[in-house]
Amino acid sequence: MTDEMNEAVEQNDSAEKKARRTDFFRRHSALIAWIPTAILCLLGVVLFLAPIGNVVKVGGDTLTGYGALGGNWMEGLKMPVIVMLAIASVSVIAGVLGVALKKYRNSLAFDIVAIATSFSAVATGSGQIAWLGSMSGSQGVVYQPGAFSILAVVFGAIFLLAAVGEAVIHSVWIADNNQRALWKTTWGRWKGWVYLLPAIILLTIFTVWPIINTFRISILEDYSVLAAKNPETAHFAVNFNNFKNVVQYSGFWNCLLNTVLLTVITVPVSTMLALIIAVALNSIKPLRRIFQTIFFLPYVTNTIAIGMVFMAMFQMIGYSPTTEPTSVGVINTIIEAFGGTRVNWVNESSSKFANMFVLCVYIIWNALPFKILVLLGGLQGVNKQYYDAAKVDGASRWRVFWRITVPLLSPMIAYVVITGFIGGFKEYNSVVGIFGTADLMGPPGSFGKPLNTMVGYIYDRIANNQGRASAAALILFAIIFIVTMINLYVSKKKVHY
Amino acid sequence: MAEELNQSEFVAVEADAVSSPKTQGGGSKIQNISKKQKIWKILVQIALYAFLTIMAVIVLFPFYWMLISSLKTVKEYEATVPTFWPNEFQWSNYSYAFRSFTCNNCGHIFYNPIAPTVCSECGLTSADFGRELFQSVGLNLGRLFLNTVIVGVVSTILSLIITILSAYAFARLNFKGKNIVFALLLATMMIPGELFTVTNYVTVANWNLLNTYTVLIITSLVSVFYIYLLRQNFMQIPNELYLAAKVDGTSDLKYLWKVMIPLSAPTLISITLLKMMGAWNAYMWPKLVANDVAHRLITVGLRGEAFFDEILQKTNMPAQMAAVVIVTIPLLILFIFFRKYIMRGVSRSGIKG
Repeated sequence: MTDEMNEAVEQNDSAEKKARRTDFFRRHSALIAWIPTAILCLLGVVLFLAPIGNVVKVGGDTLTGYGALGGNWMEGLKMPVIVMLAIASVSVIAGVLGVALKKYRNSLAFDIVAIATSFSAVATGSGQIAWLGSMSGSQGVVYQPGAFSILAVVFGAIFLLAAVGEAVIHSVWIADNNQRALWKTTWGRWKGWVYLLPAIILLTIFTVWPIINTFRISILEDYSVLAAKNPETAHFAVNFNNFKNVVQYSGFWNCLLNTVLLTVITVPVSTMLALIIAVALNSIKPLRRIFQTIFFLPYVTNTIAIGMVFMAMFQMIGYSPTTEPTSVGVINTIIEAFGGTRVNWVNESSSKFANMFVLCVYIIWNALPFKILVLLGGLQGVNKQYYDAAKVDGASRWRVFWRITVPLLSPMIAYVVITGFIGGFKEYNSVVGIFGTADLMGPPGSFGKPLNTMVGYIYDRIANNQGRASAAALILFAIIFIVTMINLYVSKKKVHY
Repeated sequence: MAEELNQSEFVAVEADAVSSPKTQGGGSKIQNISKKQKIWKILVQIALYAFLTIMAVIVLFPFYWMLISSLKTVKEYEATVPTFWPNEFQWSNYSYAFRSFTCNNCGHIFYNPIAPTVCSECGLTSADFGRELFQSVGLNLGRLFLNTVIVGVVSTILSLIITILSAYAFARLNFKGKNIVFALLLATMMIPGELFTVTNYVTVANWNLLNTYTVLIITSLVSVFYIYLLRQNFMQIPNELYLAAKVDGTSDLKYLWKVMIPLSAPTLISITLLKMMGAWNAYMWPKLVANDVAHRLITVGLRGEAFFDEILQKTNMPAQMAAVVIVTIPLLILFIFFRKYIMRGVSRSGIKG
């Protein structure tokens, strides 16, 4: 009896023990399975740092530590290495914290850490080899991939494979349904960011960073990429001299004047003309589509290409200040046919007034399609009852136009005026199209780019002096901002919504 | 100028319109008035058509002049009285724009976009000749076309993928910080592109990307405006479709591909067209970062000094006009076939390309 009882107890005991043991394994199986992952992580970090141990000779200098990973800041590998180091350390901390807090114990955080660190090791190692390879032959570098780099690449690759394998094992074997459900909801929560990832990466590099960096380099006196690459010249004084130099340069004021003139002349004229054409188009029925298509044609053209056509139309052929032209050009021929006298529009020693006139004609020709499109769209949306009511009241056409059409269209008019002003301040291509290459920016034989615009001024400086270019860009931005604000203020008072 | 003339003419018509009802007011018989009104209406219509026709002629004239100039001989182009129709069609102006290389030994002119290795005329190679056998001449329009098509197609495809994924995330998926990110993206639209260009030049110069295809593609891949446009379109597709697809166990990507993309095809076509036109018309950025022969884009090449004729000792204007025609025609053809999509995209965006 007692034997039986004892046996039963023993049996019970061992069963309990066994059960407890299985329970322990069941509960901690995930943790145990992660031990190799943890080792992979640590080794990955060590390997990632390994290439720093190399000794690199560059042009007589012996580089060790981080110097061995690349030349100067921003150049070579330092930047990517720092970024990867940041990613690796953040993920290690996140993984360790996650395990410690038992929050992500069953998630794949640790596997991701292992993958990230071993990947970083491969990247730095191969990066250093590639860097030395590209330097080989120049600056006295003898191409010899450091032993540590090879170590990092070879073992990093093995660890990467191992870590990926671990991740697969974890997700397939260890996870139970609850964990899978958890992963699924986690993925659901983060999926959006994954979809956005490419856009966000590109926008960060090419949109967000430029906003910050343009302010930064605008206060670094005469900043340029070339100077920044050379350690001896890579020191820029921090002051507002870029702005001062831009404003004190007489060419700048010429550019600003040209830009303002072109904008102030072309925007009202093209808007008025577009409004008249749109109203005319709206009051006819047959052939309207054909006219609409014709008036839209200038939009689907290459600004530079058609600028060259305008130049050819206004140009006198074979003209110089001392010789008579063989042909006065088609526009002058038409003027002479109507009894006028020919004008030197774009040839050598032509007046600035004539040049600006040609530019304005071209810009208006170019700006009409968009404005007509928007205004006609607005007109077609106007409720016909207004016009019927006006007819009953016997209002004249003129009155109808000013009292009904214009107020009802005012949101569209405000829209085309505002976009017209913004576009006008960015005018550049049309000047290039008509007045030759970007090096001339004026009639033949002129000097100092007499017809250059603000955007042209910025682009002229981008290649050599980014400091001044960014100062000018900021000035342009400020001008556009102020003008747009004024526009919005005025339209708020005048527009009937 | 003619334009001002038309404008004043139109205003005059309008002014007539103002004065006439008053004179009519004095008429005694209603029938008489309606008859007068009818005549008046017809007169106004005639004036409207006349005005529109004159404006249309002004708008079309540069196209016409470009076409006929491209077909004239140099001699006819320089005639004292400009001819409004070419006496003889000089089609060789067009091949002139495609000239690419000339053999320094026999003077044979090539039209290959890429430099030949052996002269097909005299059979020599550079090694036989002792120095560089092939000299680049003319515009080499073939090469410019090739570069532009490569950049245009790759950037359009990549940009479409990025735009679709982002718009889908903003329209259908729920995640923390969605609204903040969307607002930030819209805020960047206010800033003029010139502000980005300076730093982007610094970035690509640091990455040693100058004079590559990559630099022409990468900086303009993400357009916040297109993301916004497509998101608005995606939002119009009823959410019930998505939920039904989820119940059926359809994956997000499959749903996107099978439902969302077909339903918003018009917007996607508009985006594709505007993006292609953008690559075709790009001038400033390509000129700044990739102005070498191997990567130069068509608009940059067009505005070079490639048409200076060594024999004539002056610019060959008809050939230049031929090149302009070649650059303009694809856009016009695109416009004829996709008029609706282009006009709709433009009326929403207000941007050229």
